[in-house]
Amino acid sequence: MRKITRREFIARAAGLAAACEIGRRLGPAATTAADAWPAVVVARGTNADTAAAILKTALDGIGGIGRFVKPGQTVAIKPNATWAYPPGTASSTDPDLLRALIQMVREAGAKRIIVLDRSTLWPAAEALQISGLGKVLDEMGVEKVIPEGYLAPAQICTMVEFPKAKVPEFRKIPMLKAAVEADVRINMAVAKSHLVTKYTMCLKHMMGFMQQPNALHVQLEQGIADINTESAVRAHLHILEAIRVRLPVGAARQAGGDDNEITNPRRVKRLNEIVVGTDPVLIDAYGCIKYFSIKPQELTHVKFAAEAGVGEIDVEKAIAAGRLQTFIVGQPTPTPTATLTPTATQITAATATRTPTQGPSPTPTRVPTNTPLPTPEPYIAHAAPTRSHPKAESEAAAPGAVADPTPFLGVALIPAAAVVAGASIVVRQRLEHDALRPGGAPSTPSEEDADARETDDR
Amino acid sequence: MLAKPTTADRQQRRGLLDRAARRSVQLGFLLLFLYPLALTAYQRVTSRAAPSFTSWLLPWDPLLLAGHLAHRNWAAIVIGAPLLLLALTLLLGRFFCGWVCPIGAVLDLVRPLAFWRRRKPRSPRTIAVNRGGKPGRPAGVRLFDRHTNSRLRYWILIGALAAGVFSLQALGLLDPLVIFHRTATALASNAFALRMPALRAFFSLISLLFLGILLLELWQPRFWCRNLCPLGALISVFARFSLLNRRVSSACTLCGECQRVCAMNAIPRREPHDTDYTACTFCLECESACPNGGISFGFGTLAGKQWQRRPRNPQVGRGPQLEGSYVAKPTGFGARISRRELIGGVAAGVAGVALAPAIQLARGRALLRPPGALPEEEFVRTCILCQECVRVCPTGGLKPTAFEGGLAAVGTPHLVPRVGACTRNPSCPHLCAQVCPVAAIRPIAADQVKIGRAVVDHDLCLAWDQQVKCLVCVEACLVEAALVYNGRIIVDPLRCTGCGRCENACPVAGSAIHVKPFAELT
Repeated sequence: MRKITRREFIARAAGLAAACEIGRRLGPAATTAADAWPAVVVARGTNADTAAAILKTALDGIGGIGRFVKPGQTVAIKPNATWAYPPGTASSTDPDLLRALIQMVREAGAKRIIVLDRSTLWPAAEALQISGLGKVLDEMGVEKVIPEGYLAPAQICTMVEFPKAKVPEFRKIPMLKAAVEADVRINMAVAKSHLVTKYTMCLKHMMGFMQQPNALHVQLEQGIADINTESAVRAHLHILEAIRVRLPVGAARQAGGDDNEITNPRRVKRLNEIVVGTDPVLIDAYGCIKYFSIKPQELTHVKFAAEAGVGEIDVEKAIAAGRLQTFIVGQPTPTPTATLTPTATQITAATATRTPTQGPSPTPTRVPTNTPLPTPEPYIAHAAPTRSHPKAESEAAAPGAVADPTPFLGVALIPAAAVVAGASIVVRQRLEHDALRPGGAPSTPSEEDADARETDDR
Repeated sequence: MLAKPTTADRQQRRGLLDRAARRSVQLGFLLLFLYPLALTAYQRVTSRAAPSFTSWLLPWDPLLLAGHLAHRNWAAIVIGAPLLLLALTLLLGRFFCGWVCPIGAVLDLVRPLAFWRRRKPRSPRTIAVNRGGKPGRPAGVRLFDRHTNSRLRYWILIGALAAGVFSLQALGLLDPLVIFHRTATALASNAFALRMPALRAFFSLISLLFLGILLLELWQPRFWCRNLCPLGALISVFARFSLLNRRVSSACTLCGECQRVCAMNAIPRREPHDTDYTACTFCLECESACPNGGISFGFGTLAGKQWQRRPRNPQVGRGPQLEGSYVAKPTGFGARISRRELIGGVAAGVAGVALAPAIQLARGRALLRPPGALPEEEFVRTCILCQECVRVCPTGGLKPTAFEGGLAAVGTPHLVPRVGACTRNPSCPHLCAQVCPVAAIRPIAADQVKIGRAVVDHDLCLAWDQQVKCLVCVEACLVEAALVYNGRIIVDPLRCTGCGRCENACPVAGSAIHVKPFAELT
């Protein structure tokens, strides 16, 4: 056997290593199905399109909800239910959008659907009722975990480790147990301005899984990047709602308010876009450019998240590589914004055959929402949001109708009946007894009797 | 073949049915009074909005009406429910204590637990011989003797009313209905939030009063009702003239069985024919306990009269004689109040008057009161510590005060923003004012809320101390009172409503921004 020389050994070893490295880098890209889909898909509609139609287009572009939700799984959906402002103000998640997503997730075969959020600033019942989300949750009959205040009860939380977090305090943070234990987590953010971080999108929205969101404010920007690193609560699907976008006006950067696109068009803009994806940094970077006209690097927490390796910040590169694609609602062929790579072409073809959203939906379940905005329902605390039934709804619709103040008033009839029954038994026994006395007639000694006895005694 | 039921059998069955019926009435009322609390607990658990359901019990309380009048709030006389209760008392005696009162119901449920305490039947005749003295109230009994009822309850009533005249709220502290309500609220509000402030509130003095009443029950039956209860005292003043009364026929053999079963000691030891209507709750236990069937209840004017022994009328024979061997002797009102008792009552009034300034002296720090609360002194005087506002507060920020506010403020509600902020502005329909049974919290408009003012602790605030852009308080503030100025937090005193959202939100341990009451600021 020929002896191998040192030079040959080094050369062959280097060659083998290079081949392995090339194979490792090339291999999965060609074989894994997940990478065949774009990381982020933008769906753009018009005022005539419903939220459900835009969402459907976006999800079809990324492989359908079935790619994320498998039958029998538990799904945690985190909408923005923090603000008690009516729909259309771009403060909370659009109720129609949430309803559409829950329906899709249910059709995909999810066993349990849990909707969770932290209602930090408002009482949860109030926020749910005014934002219209509570009605959706009751209608759809899903579970909800929405603790109030800045500190959720410890028994519904569990510790989650963030090994890659930069700030040592954030390596172990208590998070909502329901989110951690769910098989699939879906993060539904709204593109809004924000007082501290300037803008808030998918990355910051992940704070809603925390037990104590205000604790992150100590180092907010780095903290947001940290909680988005690899962990047990990382969301599988991010949805950025830009049907309406809340913009800053001067120094006022509010994340919630009761002004809408009609009362304050400078602040609330209607854009009819929904961005879905698996890469929150890319979604936020796209949002920075598209909605807020700033560079993604200007948004500190997005920059930090990109540096931490959470995702990709270069939007142009992503578009060029087909990792970010834009689809128009109702168009059979999606319009690519850049030259498609061969893989992307296949996706386009696949999407084209799959798109069921042919034009504005043929049987719209709801009048398109470019009609006047729904008038905010006044919040009445004692009219606690209950499971709606048709009669109650029709009554509530009538002007001046008063909702049932206490849904359980009927329960009080049970102890009241016990009181009446007991009292009647006693009275009846007395009457019967009097009738059965040896004397025969009920005997009631009268005043005269007593007086007579006294005089008799004397 | 079944034996024909004898009279004794029938009477026994009747007795059992009566007892079941009475338990049913008591439990029914108990559940009715617990209903608003159950609603609160349900809505806390399911995180639905808190109801503005006022207690069904407190509006009937004549003692609270008396408190109003003691505070010279004469307009309260138009409150109909307590007057109706007193009118019913003239008809049915102390039925409220035996059939309606929730504390009485709980005590009746607890009493069988005292298995070690069995009253042995003793013949009243032997007692009379052994002790000597004339019938009626025996001389020389010790205080809280098991077989007599102390009149301390009248003195407590007089003392509390006298203290009320001099602006001290003692009636609310001792009122049994309020005690029940307070304890049940503490349980309903805190059972599902095992946090330290909640536990402290639960174990604070005022809730322990109920525990004390329960323990006293294990010592002597209905100890509280017989000896201490001020509401019972007020009711028994009217119950003395009750139209419903107890009759003892000549079938009585002085066996003492009725006295054994009477939990209220309403049957005097030496005179089983007589009835103390200031104690009898018409529980009907003695009726079925009498082995000779000699006891019955009916309407008439026998109450308020004392029975007097008279020789048996031989012409009537052996049949049941309703009038028995005793004759009713009319007694005037007040005839049974001895000089000693009169002096005691006066002494109680003096003590009550003296108590007021003594407690007012021991003042603590100022507290954040709910929005729309009366001015501090008037608030402390008016609040009956019933915890209704604590129950309905949608954020749970209202908590009962322990000792931090001084002795006079124990049990009154105060806002703890760290637990929950006030949401009167803009959304809460002012639930605390809606449920307050004595109007110590008055409804005000949402933009009128002014509880206190937020003050930034510059040593702790992240923005001041470390130049960290935290700004949670600015985000939480709804009236734009917390502002950023050169990267630091300042509070606009004119805009700040003191709702406490900022303090609730601050991420610093123990909060770097505190809402302070105005008394502390100026």
